[in-house]
Amino acid sequence: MNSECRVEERKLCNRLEAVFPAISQNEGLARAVAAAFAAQADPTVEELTEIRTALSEAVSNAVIYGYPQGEGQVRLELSLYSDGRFVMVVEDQGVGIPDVERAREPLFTTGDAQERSGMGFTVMESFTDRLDVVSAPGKGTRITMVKQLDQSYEL
Amino acid sequence: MNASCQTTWEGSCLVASLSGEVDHHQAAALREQLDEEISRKSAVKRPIHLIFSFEKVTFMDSSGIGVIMGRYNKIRETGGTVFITGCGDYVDRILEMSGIYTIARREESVAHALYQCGKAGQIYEQ
Repeated sequence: MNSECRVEERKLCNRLEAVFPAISQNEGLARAVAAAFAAQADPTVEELTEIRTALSEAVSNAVIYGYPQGEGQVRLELSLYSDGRFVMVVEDQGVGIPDVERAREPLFTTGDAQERSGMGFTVMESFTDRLDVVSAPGKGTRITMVKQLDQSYEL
Repeated sequence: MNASCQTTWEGSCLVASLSGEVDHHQAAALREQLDEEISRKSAVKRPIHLIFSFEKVTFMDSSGIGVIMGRYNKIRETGGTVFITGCGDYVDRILEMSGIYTIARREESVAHALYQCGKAGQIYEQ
């Protein structure tokens, strides 16, 4: 199927936007929100786990690396499409990533190397179908993850 | 849901049963608790082993890898071994991804890990 024809078939079914302070307590909250939102598409247990994990990585990154000085906001945007496509956007207005390619490498971390594994992007990548990272120093980071849910979902 | 950690000593083996959701937010408290336990016996200058049980973990992201890695560094200093037990498929998948099994040993259960320590003459009262 070519991509043009797919775009026409796909219709936005539901969308949710949330903005919350970049504090670690909200990592669990973000996971719970995403799980509740995704539940309407009747995902498998595995899909739900993958969604929660990938999102947890993205939000943790925003909290830890986006705002090393502390204060800031994280914007979460969830969209569900008629063909079972689930899109998660996690955005911060923090310090940004100087070298995105390098940051995406497994085991790379600028955090406390004793305690941070550098596996965040790798987990996001392997638990979703597509991962886009747009970032610029001083401008913040936008992470977009796309997950194609099992087609059983009908509008 | 909060993560918690129940710790028990079997001689020189520290058994850490994690439960709940292990994420970045919860990792700090887990680290602190485990490091305190380890430092209680690390003055003895004999190997301390650490057995993680993930049986009751309902969620884990890559922060869990960091918790294991950080503790591994402390256990290694005593000459001990870190064991990972009771992982579901999905926790196992994350751990596998990170290559953690090159530094920590995977065992089916806490009992299996204790047996391995005992067999090697590595459990003693201290």
